[in-house]
Amino acid sequence: MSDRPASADFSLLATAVASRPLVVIDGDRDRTWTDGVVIHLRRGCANPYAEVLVQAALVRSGALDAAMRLPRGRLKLRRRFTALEASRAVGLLPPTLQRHTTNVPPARSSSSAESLAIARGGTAVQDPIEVGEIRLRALAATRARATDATSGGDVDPRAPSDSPNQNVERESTELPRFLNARRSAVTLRRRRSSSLERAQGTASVLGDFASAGAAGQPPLNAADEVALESLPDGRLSDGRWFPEWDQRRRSYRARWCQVVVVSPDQLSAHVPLPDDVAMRRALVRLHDGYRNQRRQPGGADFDLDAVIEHLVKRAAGSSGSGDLFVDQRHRRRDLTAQVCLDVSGSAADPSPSGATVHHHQVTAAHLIVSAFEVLGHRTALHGFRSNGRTDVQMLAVKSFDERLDGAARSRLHALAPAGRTRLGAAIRWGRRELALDRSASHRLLLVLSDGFAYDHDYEGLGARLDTRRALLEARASGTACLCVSVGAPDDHRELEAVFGSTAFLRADGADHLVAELRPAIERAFALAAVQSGEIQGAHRSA
Amino acid sequence: MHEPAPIKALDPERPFYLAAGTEETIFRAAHERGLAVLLKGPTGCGKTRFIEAMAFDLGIDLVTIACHEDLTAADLVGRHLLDDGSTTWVDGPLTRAVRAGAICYLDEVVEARQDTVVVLHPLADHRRELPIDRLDTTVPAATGFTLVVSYNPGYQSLLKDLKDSTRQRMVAIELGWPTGEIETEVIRVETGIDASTASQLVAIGQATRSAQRLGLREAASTRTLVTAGHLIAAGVTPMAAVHAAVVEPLTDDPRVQQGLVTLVRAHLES
Repeated sequence: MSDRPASADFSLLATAVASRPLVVIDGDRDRTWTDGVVIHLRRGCANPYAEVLVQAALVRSGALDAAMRLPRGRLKLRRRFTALEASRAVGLLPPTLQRHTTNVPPARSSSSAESLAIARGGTAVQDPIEVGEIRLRALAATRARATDATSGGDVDPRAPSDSPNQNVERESTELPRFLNARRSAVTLRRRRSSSLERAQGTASVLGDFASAGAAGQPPLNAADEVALESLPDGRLSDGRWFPEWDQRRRSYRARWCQVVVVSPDQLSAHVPLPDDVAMRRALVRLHDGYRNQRRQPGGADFDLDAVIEHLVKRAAGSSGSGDLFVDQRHRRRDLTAQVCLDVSGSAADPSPSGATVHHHQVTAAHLIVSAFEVLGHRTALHGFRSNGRTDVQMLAVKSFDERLDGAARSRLHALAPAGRTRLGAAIRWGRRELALDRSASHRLLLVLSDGFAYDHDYEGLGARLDTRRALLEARASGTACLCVSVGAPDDHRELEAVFGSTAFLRADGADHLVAELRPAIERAFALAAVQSGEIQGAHRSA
Repeated sequence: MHEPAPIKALDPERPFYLAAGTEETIFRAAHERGLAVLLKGPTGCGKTRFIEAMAFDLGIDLVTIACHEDLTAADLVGRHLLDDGSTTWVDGPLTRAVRAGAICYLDEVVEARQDTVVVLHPLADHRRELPIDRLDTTVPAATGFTLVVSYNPGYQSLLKDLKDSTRQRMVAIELGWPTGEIETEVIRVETGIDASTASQLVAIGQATRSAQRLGLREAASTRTLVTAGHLIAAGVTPMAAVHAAVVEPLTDDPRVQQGLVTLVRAHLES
């Protein structure tokens, strides 16, 4: 019993058998079932091999599609059909896997139509528990959601719900004092059970990555459908105070903003890898170039100066040098990048490119960080949100020393938009993190946000100027800053007003981003080099 | 005096290779007609072994060059060296193959820079000659010379694809994963283990390929399965052998490893 692997560990096997992404979780019914995206193991299933294989085989064989055409309410017919289809599907498995499903009777049909015909007839049909069950309503619901999402733009995250707590973000309702990212505390007020929701939320995210480039599906948690509760501390760091620029007084308010690093919750399910080949290709040439190194012991060409010297020395009687060649050396610089992802409530807004802004930003963050990691750049990724100046949260998805492994990807996809955007504090925090990282050579602060700074006592011109100031401070210390806005409605002027003097990039979606990201990063570095030279030479303002 | 390095001596017996499709026919035809060949396929699927078998069958030498980012044109074509006050020219491996009428096999050609790969163009088209600027001469390809390049078009490829101007000068052969039967036979012959164990290894390989990109960055190659087979032949238990030869090389992520271990266990008879 203790040897039984965790349910999630069966996901890869299920995916392999079905050739589609499948996630396995513990369910709470008497039989195992699936909606084509998640396999819910029955309660107390001690040996999941058989049941996982049956469900995955059902998905693969098209039985679920056929089941959708069954008449509703005919439970006995459905049970018989399920058992017959399970036998048929298992018969298609490779022999080495079939030894797990010996309790499933041998196949009697060679198609779903035939299974239905036999089911309708009078012959006895065995129905062992390993066969599981098919749940038509759940199946239909999952497919309906998938269709909604891919129709692009038709989804309204503010769809009516049972919740009395509507629209937490923009209206004047007071937010709870302490926003915490722990997912277990987030209550989703809808009719269905929360574990199913979580699983289906997972599924919608998985669907994105499985079909690389497919139109996005909306994340489950729109800010206005979520009730946030005050929770036990999930802090990873003590609060750190940062100053803020006061435009009216033209000076800094010292120790004004408190930033805390918290640990976000993870999804229980397995998040597939992003299809980041295009992004990697686009970024591989970042800072790339060749430089000729003279007087090398080997190389493509003679270094004529060195050769002449050598011959002259030899003629004079002394031994020459062997370093007579010009070698072309790679000059790619390794970056250190801190990515700050805006997870404030405004990200839950619908995107003109379909789905929500949050979805696009999370996709972008995933692609960028994944590509950076493969290319060897040290990267950290934190979500950020705030609720007033003393409560700015950085949600730790991945630190510099961590890898973008399954756990980190889970944390990324579990982030839910809520709260507000105190950009200045986030930028100052990010710049400090980069400064602290000893191995950092070329520092890049990448802010994924629509650039709209808004918090309690922090809005309009004042917020914009503080954000600009924070960027100036970063650039003065040689940190390149880039704001990337993905999928947000086009408010060019806002972005330009705030980020104009550094670099910013507005992209509709991932494809657009891939095409434009490298030049934007190069611009950010070019500006940082210029600015740090200028400002260090000029006066220091208070 | 710099002696040119000897071209690899011919194998005494044919390197073991089982054709999966038409690749041998096409290669022979390309060789006969003096056409260049582009081999596409994932790592560990048998590209190099295929070329070794072809070289043996045709009775000609094989020169292999592993391509990488820092490979320069001079590394391929040759360079002058300074020796006691005078310069000597030393042929690079490409030039040696051209002069000797051998197969020149550039492995993972996408890893090399574009300005290096361009050197191959006059050899890959109807001209079949190699201009050597530094000697102010052009070397025509000797009879039997065949240019072969390989690359992995899938997930590993970081740099841009080969330029069209290069690709269209070549005959492309795609080597994918072999069928279950062929792969089982390959493992059996290479390692000596029984067919039943070999087919279990193949089932594991196929499952990982099915899950590739859906949960696994890389699938198990034929090569890793053969390695597992070698370990089993040396007395290691199948589970431990597959763990060492397949699971650990494929991923460091503990979650993915768990998923792989469960997948492997499903396929191995205890």
